[in-house]
Amino acid sequence: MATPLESPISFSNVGRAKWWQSGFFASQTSYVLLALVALFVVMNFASPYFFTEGNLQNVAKNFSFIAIATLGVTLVIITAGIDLSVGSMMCFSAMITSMVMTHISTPGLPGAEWFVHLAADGKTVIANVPGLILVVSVLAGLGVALMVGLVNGFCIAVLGLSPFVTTLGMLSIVRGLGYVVSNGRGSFPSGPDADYFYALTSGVVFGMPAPFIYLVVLAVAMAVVLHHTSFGRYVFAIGGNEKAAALTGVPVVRVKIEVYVICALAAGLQGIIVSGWLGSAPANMATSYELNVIAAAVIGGANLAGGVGGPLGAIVGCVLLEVIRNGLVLAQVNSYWQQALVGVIIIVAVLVDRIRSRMA
Amino acid sequence: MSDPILEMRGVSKSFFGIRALRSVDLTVHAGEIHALMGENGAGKSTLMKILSGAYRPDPGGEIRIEGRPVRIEGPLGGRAAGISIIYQELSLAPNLSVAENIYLGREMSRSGLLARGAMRLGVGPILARLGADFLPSTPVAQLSMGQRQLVEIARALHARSKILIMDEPTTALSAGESERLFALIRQLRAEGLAIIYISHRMDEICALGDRVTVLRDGRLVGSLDKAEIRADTIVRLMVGRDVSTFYKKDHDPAAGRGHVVLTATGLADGRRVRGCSLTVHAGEVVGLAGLIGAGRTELAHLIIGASPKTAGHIEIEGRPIDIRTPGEALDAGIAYLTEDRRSLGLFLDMSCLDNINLAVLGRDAKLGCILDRDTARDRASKAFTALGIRAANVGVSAGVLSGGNQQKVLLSRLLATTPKVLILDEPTRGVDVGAKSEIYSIIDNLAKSGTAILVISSDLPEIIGICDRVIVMRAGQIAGQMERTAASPLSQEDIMALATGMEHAHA
Repeated sequence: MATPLESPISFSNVGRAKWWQSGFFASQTSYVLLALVALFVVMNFASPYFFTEGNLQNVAKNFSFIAIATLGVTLVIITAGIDLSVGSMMCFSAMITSMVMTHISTPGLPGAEWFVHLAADGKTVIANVPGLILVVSVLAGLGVALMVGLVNGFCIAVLGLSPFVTTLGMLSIVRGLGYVVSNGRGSFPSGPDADYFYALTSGVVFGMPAPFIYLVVLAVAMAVVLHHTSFGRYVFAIGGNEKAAALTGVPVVRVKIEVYVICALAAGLQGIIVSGWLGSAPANMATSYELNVIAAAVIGGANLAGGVGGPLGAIVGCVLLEVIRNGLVLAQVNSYWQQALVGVIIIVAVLVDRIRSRMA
Repeated sequence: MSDPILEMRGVSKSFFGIRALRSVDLTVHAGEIHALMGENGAGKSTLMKILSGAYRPDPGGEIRIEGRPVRIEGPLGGRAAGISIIYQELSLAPNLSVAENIYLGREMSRSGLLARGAMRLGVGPILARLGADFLPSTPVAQLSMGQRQLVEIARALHARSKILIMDEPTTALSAGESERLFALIRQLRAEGLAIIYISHRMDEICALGDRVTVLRDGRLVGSLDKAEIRADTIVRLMVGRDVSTFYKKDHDPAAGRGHVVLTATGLADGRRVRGCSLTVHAGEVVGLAGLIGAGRTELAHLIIGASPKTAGHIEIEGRPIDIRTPGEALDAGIAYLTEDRRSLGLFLDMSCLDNINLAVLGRDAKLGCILDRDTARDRASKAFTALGIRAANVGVSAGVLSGGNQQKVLLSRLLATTPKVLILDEPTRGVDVGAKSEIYSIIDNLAKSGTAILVISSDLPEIIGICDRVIVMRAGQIAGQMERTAASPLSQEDIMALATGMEHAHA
């Protein structure tokens, strides 16, 4: 390789960055986390009820209801994309899951004979294999999410359409399809496996809401994937400089399709979980949730220009939104204020980051 | 000599305790081309930004224009003081017309509506004076880089600027366009403008400069009169040491040349490249010369599969190979260094570590997808030592490095793939003198170790300095090639003659 220089030149502009100017401490996520901690302290003094087990469980459950979808959207945002179809996707997956579950749990309907039979009394429905109905119906719900994600990814990565327009169209398409298949009526997960379904979606495990556990597992998985796999580096590379990534041999098209598929799957799973808590999947479920999800991602530090973001930020954003909502309820403030406040927080969070990067 | 039009006395600028500029004195006269030189980070751009009003200097210094002390504040302050800057990246709006761009920020209006006709008429005389061959109503997007530069200059003249600062104006220009620009700059000098000319290209400075001021590490280290301007003197001032062997070429083309590594036959893309064939041998440095727009970069893109080819095929070491994406090219052993490292090469927000390893992540990964952090860190540190990359550590993001160090990081990424063929597109563009010399030495060492190297460059002294053989392109075709032999060294005139299609370019 090259010979070392005879006399190295020193550059005054090459210096070592201070610890608070680099890594996690320099990220918007850390500032928002700090704000969140402060908020917890304030809430502790403002309301004696805030730090009770019941309320914290409530908070944990509520933010888990958008946080899984936020993980998916954060991934898309890191690639400098956007997915507006997550709200519709949540509804559609939940609806398909509950419709498939109801269908294959009703003896006499085509296909149901593989899953259920009638007991001797002629009324009680018994599952052929306990749990199979649940698995099949959840897979059906995730299956449609997978297909929607593939269509999104194909349009964006292969056809080169803008992510905003593609997923805006998909928002409408998927919502419309939901109304078509349900005729506008909600559906209810029912049948012999419905109890499992409710236990797994709205139950409590080790004192924690089940959705919260799924969230933690998925967030850890996402952190590992982002920072310890080549796929994760490719996601950041595409968000940082897509053209350069293509010239470097990064499989840009494949990674982008995968990212939209993962996002749709996360939204689908989120919808299925929410429907378990609601006890039904109404056709207008999760309407405009995409805005909350994107807001949470952005507050948590995901940069819409791409290249920046992570699961911790996604969760911190969701928690912040929920704690504020919860706090306003406890403080008996008119709940309409919540939405206005969320908007202020989005702008302030991004503003703080801008001021910080100007100062650096 | 006349009174100076611009005088700076003891101007300093610090950023958070780092002195970017230390008590610099600069005197510029009307009717003078004053060259400002220095490596990247030497303080040239800080000085320029003070003159344009983007930065406010530290208290203590003084700036006088035509003898009167001035305070230049805000982006419009420079223009108000009679100073216009033509930036390296031109600051025109491509979707607006020439006239609209020239009047941008100072639109003429009649009863609240834009006076388009009057604005078009208003820029006519200036465009004529500059010898422009386009209409005021032409959208800027349709203009070549050289023509856009004229629009920038027209904007400066239209604002009645007396001092014109040009920051590497020829970077994006072809040789012909550069010549026309030089003629224009001399004309403006004759008309009494003061021109501060910033460039890394020594030949331009020697040809144009009336005075040369050299900055190093924020200090003024020397100011040369016309008679004293010589390339070696300037380089010594800039780097603070002797650069005796600027172009390093130790590898022996005759003895060192190995088998044919890259063979491209009849490559075409149906538009810019028509039937190009070339070969590169192991251990050989081949130059690909030609004017801007001759199709050199496009040809490189065809070879690496970055754009689809309509005809032709490629062989590596005699085996035909089908390359459809840059990834396949890397697998086949062809690495390409882009000419536009900021927008097509580097991931500016990502660390040097990630930037260097990105092309080999998949190959290194354990179990097909888990990153091997130790190997990656080891490779990056070795690259830092081997290529002399100056940064605090491998975790620093690539965006904060100087041009030369960025280029070395990008080069490290390519070398990590251990390529058989290395295609370097303008490897020293926007790189300071010291780093240039180091990059030449890296290229030389790679050739010595048997890599086949194709260098695309618009810098003819560079091509002549480092290449064993030169292939010249003209209008999408190979116009000819010439070999360096002991009897006949390569000459700029011969290359230009081939590139322009004239018998005697220097006639």
